Amino acid sequence: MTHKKRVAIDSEPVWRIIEHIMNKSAQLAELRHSLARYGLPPERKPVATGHPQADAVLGGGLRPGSLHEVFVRSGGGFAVLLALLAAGGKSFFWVRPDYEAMEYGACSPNGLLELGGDPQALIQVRTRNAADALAAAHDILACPHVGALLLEIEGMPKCLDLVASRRLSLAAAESGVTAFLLRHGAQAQPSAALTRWQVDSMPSQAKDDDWGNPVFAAQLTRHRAGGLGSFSMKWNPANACFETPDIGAVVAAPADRPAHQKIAI
Amino acid sequence: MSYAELAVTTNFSFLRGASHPGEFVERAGQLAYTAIGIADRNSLAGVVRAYEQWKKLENPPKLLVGARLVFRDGTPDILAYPKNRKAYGWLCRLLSIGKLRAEKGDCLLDLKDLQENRRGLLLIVMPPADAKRALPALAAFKSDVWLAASMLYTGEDRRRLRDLKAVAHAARVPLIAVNDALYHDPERRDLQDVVTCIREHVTLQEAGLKLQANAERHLKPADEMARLFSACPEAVAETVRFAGKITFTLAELGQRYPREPVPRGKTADQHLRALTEAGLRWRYPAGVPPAVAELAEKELRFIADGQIAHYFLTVHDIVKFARG
Amino acid sequence: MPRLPTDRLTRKSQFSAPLVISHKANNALYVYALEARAQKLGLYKGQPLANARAMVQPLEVVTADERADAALLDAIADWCDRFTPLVSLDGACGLFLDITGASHLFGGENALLATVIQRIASHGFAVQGAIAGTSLAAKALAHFAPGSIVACGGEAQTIAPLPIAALDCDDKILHALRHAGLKSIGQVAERLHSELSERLGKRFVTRLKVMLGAEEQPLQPRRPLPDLMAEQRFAEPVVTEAVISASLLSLAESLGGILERQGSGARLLEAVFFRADGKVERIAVKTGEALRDPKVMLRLLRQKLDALADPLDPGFGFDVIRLEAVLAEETKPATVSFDSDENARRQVRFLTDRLSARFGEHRVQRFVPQQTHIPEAAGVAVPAQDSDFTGQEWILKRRTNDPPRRPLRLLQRPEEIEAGLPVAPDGPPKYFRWRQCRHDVARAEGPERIAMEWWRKQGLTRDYFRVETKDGQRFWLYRDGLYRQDGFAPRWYLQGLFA
Repeated sequence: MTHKKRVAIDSEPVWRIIEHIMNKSAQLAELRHSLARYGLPPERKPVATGHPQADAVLGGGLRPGSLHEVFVRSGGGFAVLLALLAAGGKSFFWVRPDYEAMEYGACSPNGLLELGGDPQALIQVRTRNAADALAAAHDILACPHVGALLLEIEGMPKCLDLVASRRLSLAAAESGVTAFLLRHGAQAQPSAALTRWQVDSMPSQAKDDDWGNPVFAAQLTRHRAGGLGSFSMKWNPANACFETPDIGAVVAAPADRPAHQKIAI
Repeated sequence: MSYAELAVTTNFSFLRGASHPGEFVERAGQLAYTAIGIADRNSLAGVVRAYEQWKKLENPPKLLVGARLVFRDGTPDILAYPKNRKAYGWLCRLLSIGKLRAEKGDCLLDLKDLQENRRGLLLIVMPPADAKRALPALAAFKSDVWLAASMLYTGEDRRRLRDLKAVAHAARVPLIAVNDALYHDPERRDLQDVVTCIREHVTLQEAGLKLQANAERHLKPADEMARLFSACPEAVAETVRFAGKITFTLAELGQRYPREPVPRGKTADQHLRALTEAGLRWRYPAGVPPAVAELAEKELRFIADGQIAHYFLTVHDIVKFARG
Repeated sequence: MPRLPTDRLTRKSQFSAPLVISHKANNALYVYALEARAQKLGLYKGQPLANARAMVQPLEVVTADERADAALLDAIADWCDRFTPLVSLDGACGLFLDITGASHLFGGENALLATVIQRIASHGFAVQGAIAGTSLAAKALAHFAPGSIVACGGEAQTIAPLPIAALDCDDKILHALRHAGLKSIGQVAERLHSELSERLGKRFVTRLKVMLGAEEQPLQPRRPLPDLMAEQRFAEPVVTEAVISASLLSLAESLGGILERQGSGARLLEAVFFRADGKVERIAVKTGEALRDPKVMLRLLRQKLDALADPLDPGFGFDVIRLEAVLAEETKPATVSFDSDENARRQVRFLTDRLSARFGEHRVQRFVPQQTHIPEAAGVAVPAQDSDFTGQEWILKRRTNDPPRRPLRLLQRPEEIEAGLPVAPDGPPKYFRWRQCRHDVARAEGPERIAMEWWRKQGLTRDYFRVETKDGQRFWLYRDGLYRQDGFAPRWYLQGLFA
């Protein structure tokens, strides 16, 4: 049903276009879909971590729209902090199977707030198993409006092979969402990730018996687009970014520790 | 090793404290405190009950009388303890200024009011969450001012104590230990929670962070206070020094009758006796009947005990004037 | 269905003797329900069982099972849903259907009544029905003049000749009416309302008015009514996947069109599948964002269907498929705003809707702050679709330049640890064992003393410590309870892990 309104412009082609659009709801839907992509940043700038050496080696910072793998013995928070940086105020999806949630603890929004993150931006997805977690990750990576995805997996399940990491990388590249894969109790395998990190916690430095901010011994062991390195990175909650720890900090050599020691996180 | 608790909020701070002033005094006695100070919110209402209980005890701790001044201009709370009787008068005056300014029951004070009426008052500034915000209040007074420190198991007690030390040092003011008590015994925590809900018009379920996280705000033994302040023992010692500076007691608040002209060399009672005898002779020229004499004697003794001779002298003066 | 309890049994199996259902009342057994045969032999409802047994031998007696009867009535009500969603239960044996505006779909009121009666009867139930303008009028007619169809306004006339037993009020009132010599409803109606309400109560007068069609008592539907619905009826029941999907799509498109015109969207969609054998299957999908795009609706429904543990079983086929939109609410006129933040938020909400439909809404969560001192309750995970998550007040515990005071992860349940004795009574342990691993404490902050919420449940006061081990791992421990004079040894627990 067309509604012929009295319009100043009384031209046939204009009317045909209006009729066409008003008649075809399917085309309206199409229009909507393309408009939904409106508002995305035109280029993807690297997200600086705040640690000068790490940023230099990374070529400015973490590349958005790519997959980054983080292997931890302890200090799993490192991956969360990277994801926080990459999310940059947009939504942050944390996906993990039930087992990982039970074993390593549920994410606490208050804890995230204390680290300088925004609990309102956090969405947690708990799946039954690693395969479902991968499926959820793909759903999330398909939405370009997501800030960052953190996928937390224990051990080395079959479904997380080279092909899986390639698919994840492609999905991230397509939408521009930065994806982080946090691996507990696993050894490095062939993967299509852009960067691979080995992380351990380090003693914080502060006066007296007090605490300081968290410090991580982060080794960049694989980097498809650049060099490698070993960094002591301290997180500053007030600025919500990393920084170099104070001079005099001992950089622990993670190689000293046995590879497979099942440290309780 | 002893201690004096100077920050006590009784139930006379309406819907804040959960113990009676008498209970505080009694407990302070049991804990063998050197002194206990009652300081209710913008009020001296609780001190009388405290004094009554204090009188009943054997070897009670010294009772210090003061008020917790709560300001409307953002100044942190300040405990004010009068050194002597005159200072007590200044404190009453200060509170009156605040109360006259306000609607019924309320008391509106500015830091300026305290500055104008602070003679003889010993002041303890209670620091807010950000210790540095106590600096302006500390700077407003040249002497007789302290900065309070409390260790209430907040999880950052040590850090806070360090900050307070720094602020006290910067302001050149001594730190003084307080436990900021809201009740005399930890089992009163439940009641304190309930009155907080009543005050804030919420239910227990809804009250959330309006309630205290723990039950630490009670009178603690001196050795526990010493242990809590082991990083700053001078703050504990300061409480005893502080108490030592105060001489005022409520006993000094007698009924002060204006001085009646009494002839030299005679006391009021003696003068009254002389006048009574003269009057008796005038009334009974034939001789005073023994019953009447006995009654007069009894009454004169009663008057002497009650120290109210002046009143009768005034009456005599008025009658004399009326007659003449 | 006056004989529902016995019909439930007799339609499934044969009984040689007349069947009677008994139940206990006042410590004696009475007849609760009876089948036609038993009634013909002179037995009646409410008769003491002993008498019934004496009158008729042999007699089959079964104890009443009200729950099974109720379940059966529910299933019949479900089946009636295909005629109208406004179905409500009437006692233990009856149903009300509000067919306002729906009868034309079934060939008129006569045909509708006939269909319903015939279909129910064909399943082995004795059933009576009637149609009228008000619920109570229809009920009275169904009991005492089954098969009547009364046009709106004609109730007073049709009801008048019915005996006063049709009033369905309690015995005291009936007795009073009989005493007054009133035998039919018409006679009662002639009396003055004021007179009646004085003697018999206002409620009675209201019911009478409803019965006479002067007022209406709205029905309480057994399921919440949808705001919008579109349905498709099939001449031949459909079984194939493809046809079902196509049907869902076209229903979604109709609903979408209506929602579009109204300028509103759906928050809850329910697809209802009516099987030919009477069973009804329902699939519901909740959305975080008001929805009217048919493609998205279909996608969400498909995801839900695919995720079902037992796939949808059409049995002999579905003869009606209906799509209901519940909780439709007003949306802003422009579906696409040029505010990119708002757009991004909407897209993320669509994403959480899809994830919820696929994995279950309790698996996709966001967080809500709670004002409480109890750490595990200060941030609560709720399904992401539940509510708006903007404008929240989260309380930061650390001071600006201090390290975090709450851990990044909290264990679902605090785990007990073996703790070495602390140096100071108020201090952290020097070392502890957790999950077979020993940790030496290098630094610690605390105690943060948190007392439990005494008005909720008992619990010991906890002293929390933020500890850092020699190799830099950071944990959140607490001692459950304070040390006491009586030698009570409190336990230690690990509740959280810092970054």
